Amino acid sequence: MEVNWPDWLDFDWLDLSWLELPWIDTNWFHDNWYGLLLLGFFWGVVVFTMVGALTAVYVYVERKVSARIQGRLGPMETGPHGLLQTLVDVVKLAVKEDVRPAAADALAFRLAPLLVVVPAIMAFVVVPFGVPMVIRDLNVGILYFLAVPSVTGVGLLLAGWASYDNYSFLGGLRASAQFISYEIPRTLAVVTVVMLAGSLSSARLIEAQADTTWFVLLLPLSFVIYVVTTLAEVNRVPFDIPEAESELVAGFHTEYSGFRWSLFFLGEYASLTTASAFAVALFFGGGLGPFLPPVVWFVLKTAVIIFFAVVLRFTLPRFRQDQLMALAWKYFLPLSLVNLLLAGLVMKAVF
Amino acid sequence: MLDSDVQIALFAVFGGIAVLAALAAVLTRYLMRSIVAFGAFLTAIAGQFYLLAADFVALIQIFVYVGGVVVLILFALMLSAVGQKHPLAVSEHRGLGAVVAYAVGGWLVWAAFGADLPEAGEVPGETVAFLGRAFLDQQLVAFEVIGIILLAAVVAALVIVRGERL
Repeated sequence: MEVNWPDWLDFDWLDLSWLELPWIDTNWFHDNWYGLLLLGFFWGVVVFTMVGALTAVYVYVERKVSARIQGRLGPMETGPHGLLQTLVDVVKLAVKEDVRPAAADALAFRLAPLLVVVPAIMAFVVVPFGVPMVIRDLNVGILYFLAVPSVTGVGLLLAGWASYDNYSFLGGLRASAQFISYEIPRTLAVVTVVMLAGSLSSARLIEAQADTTWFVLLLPLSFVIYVVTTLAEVNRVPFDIPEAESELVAGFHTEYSGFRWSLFFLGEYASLTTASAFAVALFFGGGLGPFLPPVVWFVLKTAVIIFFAVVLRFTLPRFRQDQLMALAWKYFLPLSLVNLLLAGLVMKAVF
Repeated sequence: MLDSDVQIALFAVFGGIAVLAALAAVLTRYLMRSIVAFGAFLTAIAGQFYLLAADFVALIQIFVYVGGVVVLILFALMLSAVGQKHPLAVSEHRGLGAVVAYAVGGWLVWAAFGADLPEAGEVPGETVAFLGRAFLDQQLVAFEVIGIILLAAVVAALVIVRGERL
């Protein structure tokens, strides 16, 4: 089914013609390669800025929610109710000295944060904010969402290795072990959704849910597997042992400070955002909803999922390394295989 | 779709990155850098696949090779405690190695130029559906055999690691 979105939302996001700027000939961008390059650059800047701003908001929300859970007030001094606290922190981080350990491998030390943050931000390309509102609706969009952020694992390992420090080293090892272990059940959970939608395109995914219903109702087990494994993928509590402060100081980013440290931070929150946005797209019908425009629904649903992740962080204790690995390989992998088989059998019987 | 000039330019860019990364991978004496360069090489090859309209293969290349294989090699390397301060020693057998490398390289180039390549066909609009049908239709036997070989490899690895404790 084609979804009937309001007219004003019916545009290709890579296109600028919807801006109706009289002094820019928008066709020009599509007629030559440097126009396309400029357009790509433009959206890159937009997404990067958006992620930066969102991260500042999260940090504030996270501090306030954690304070509420622990019976504190949280930041109150800077601005009304501490609203300006994160802005001030951004300035602090940006101007802080960039310390690099003498023994560190200079090249790898600089490369590692980029390998963490860039794939995380690249994943925004296929997030379906509304049906026509995908920056680029790839035929293989869902696979792109799974594949591109998987490069992050290289960055985490490299950060741990390049720092030449035992804590970083252990943190990097833990992070990547966790990353590749949980990637498998996660992918298998997403495969069931793809089977149901009959396409790897993120826009088609929403259309399929408009035809039937939210996939969380049809595939509840896939949703549970997706949420738990995603929390592990983005190193959130209860799966944050790669940076467990009571054991490893700060894990793979122990030796990082200032701007490079904030790149890791940005990468973590960017992947949390894309993962939550995709949870909405895969299981909660994306931008589908009455009255409000799809983008608003999409952002609201994503915010609920992120809020859930924030609350979890301050309510659950941390896993132990061996428990974490056992959970992935002994429970989630067989569970996701059974889920895949069941989903296939039921689909075969129903359709 | 992109016009042919842009395609050729992008081919040159990805090809250049691939060649440079491959050179870096074999020339550096630090194992870690070599693997990272190998990862860059694989990414550039994924770009080439994309230019050939094989979008699915390009992403699988990144997913499995960069996100999986390279991470696993790095992981194994870090567990084996090869410190970053110790560059690999240059092998005594480098002369023999060069002969073998040139022989294999020359043979590959000869094979590539002599190959009877099919004409470029129509690109299927839905590459994924096309591949899926091919895997479960004409190529079903090969697909299943690969599955059995991989299973055997996993079991063999377990036997080697666990030794007599099995």
